[in-house]
Amino acid sequence: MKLLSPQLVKSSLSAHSWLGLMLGGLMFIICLSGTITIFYEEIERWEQPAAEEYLDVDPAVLEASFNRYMSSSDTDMTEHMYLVFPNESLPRVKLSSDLEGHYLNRDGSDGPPAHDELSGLLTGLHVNLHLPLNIGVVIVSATGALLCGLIISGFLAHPSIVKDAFKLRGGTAGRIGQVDLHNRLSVWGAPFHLMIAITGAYYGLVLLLGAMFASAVDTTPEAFNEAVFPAEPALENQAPVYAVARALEQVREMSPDGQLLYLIVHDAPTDERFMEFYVQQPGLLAWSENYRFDTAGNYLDTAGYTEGGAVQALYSVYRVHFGHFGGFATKLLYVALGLALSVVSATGINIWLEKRKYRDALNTIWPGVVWGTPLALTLASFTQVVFAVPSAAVFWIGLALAMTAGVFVRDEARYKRRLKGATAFALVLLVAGHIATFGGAALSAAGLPVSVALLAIALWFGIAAFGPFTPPLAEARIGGRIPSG
Amino acid sequence: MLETLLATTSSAAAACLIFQGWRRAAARMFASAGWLLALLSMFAWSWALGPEVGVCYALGVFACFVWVEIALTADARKTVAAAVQRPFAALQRPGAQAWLKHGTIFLLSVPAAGVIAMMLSIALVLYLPWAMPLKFAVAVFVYPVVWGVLGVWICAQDALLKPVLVNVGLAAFSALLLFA
Repeated sequence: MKLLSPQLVKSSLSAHSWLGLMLGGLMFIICLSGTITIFYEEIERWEQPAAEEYLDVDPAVLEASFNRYMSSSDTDMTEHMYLVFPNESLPRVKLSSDLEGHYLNRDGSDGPPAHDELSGLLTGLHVNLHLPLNIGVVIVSATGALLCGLIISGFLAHPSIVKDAFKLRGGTAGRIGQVDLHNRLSVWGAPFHLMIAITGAYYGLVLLLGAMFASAVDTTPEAFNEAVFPAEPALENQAPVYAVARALEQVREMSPDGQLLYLIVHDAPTDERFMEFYVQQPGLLAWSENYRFDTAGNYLDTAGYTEGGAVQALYSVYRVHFGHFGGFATKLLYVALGLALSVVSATGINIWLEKRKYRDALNTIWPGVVWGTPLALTLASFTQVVFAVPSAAVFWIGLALAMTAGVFVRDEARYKRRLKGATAFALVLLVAGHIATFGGAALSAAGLPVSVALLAIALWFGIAAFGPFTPPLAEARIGGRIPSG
Repeated sequence: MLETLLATTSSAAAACLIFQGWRRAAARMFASAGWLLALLSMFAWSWALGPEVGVCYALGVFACFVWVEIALTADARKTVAAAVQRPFAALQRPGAQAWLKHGTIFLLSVPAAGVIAMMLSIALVLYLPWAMPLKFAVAVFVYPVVWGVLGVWICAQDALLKPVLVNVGLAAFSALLLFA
């Protein structure tokens, strides 16, 4: 007896195709940028390699520097003010507002301005597609929810799931190869991909869900928020002088194994201000446990984000989605799984294109999306790092050009190779531009690892474009000679 | 370190056993043993890294080992029809009817299904005897799945009348539970 009826398989395949075609391009860009975003700390370090790096900090120096920063007339005081502690991925101290900030030297003197425009460009692409935040996060979150549908329909449309469980035929080329690659990566990665889909759907729509929930229980969104999440302390007459060292000592007593992330001063411009220390707990996925203090360093309370239950689960969404737990090994694991999802998105459309009896402009536009995205990202990174210009437009114009150019090339294989070759060249140019901009600092521990990784990726693209394993163009060209007219 | 090594080995062995069980019809018990070991690897990873991080690793590392197994045993022969001649045609633009049909499917399966999934998820948890944070958390994690399932079901329909009626019915039912 067949587990899935032919009719169910047929209709599931139809739904899978429809959703996949609608979302494929968007999904690919979101997945690829998400995979890169896993390393946002390393990228932030790379784009400002001149900052002094250290892991040990003297609390007295921190306190004096933070108070100097907070009382300076040059500081743009915003609702939240930050003191970011060093960690292995980003071993530097940063003082910042919601708008700007600078690094701190070990002796307490001001370091260079903190730049995170490039990491912001990449995370901005993943989180809101560079659209206005309210619109972008909703679109990305909806894509996450519909990914759940794609995963479910993919299973229902796959009657030979056991029979084909380990098959990978045709060296990943051609329709069978693409089908096998798509199915093997998606089936075995499904638990991870489902987790990414559900957690990805969280960010853009949780406010709407909360508002709907509040309306259903006849309360305001603010009151509902307080009923679900730990309430903030209510203070008054707090002096704008911060006893950071005293509070820090107590935090270390309360959480001796915790990893200090940052200190946020809430309501900084008002006399209701208070300090909140975010401390990651070993072995837990929750973003942090938070310890609150008044500005004199008197302990107020602990938020309770790691005390179990639903709040802890909600507070774990970020780290589960972005792979920010367990160190560098987890990041590598997430890169493998994230790239797999990107390949699944790309091969899904490839299968549809290969299935058709004819080729048209879509066959050459699609490689522009898949191979044009890394090229456009590299070019945007170059203009951002070397010329310090906001480069979201460079990415989108670059991607549009890559898609449009495909229409004129009319040869998928040739066009893919050109895009790969151009990406290899652009990556080398990016590293050269980084060295030219930052000089010796580009070769420091902050700059070198990412540059080496970029060159390794450039090498991969170069081999894929021109290497000995790449078939000659005449053989690789799908469809052979293009008929005139 | 030893715990991590043991957990990694158990994931690798699980992937290997499942592959052997799949490849040889006479060795089905290998597959069963592999799945059992994959399950046990969760405990090994939890022992090594704690239950929360451990479960994530057990799922991710196992998938990676399976992919390695697939890559190592891939049939790399270029038997595919890479040289099949397919004519290059002019891009066909869909007509007004197709735009209307696909536009309606989009509206039903994306924005409408999204709002309905949220309403339905909240309505389902609202009457459960749980604390508010738990109700909210369950709704947060359930609604994307409900949205996905509803979206797929809508896209799978040949005619649009049924999805329209079902969407209206679910919206009315949820609204009744939520706001009546």
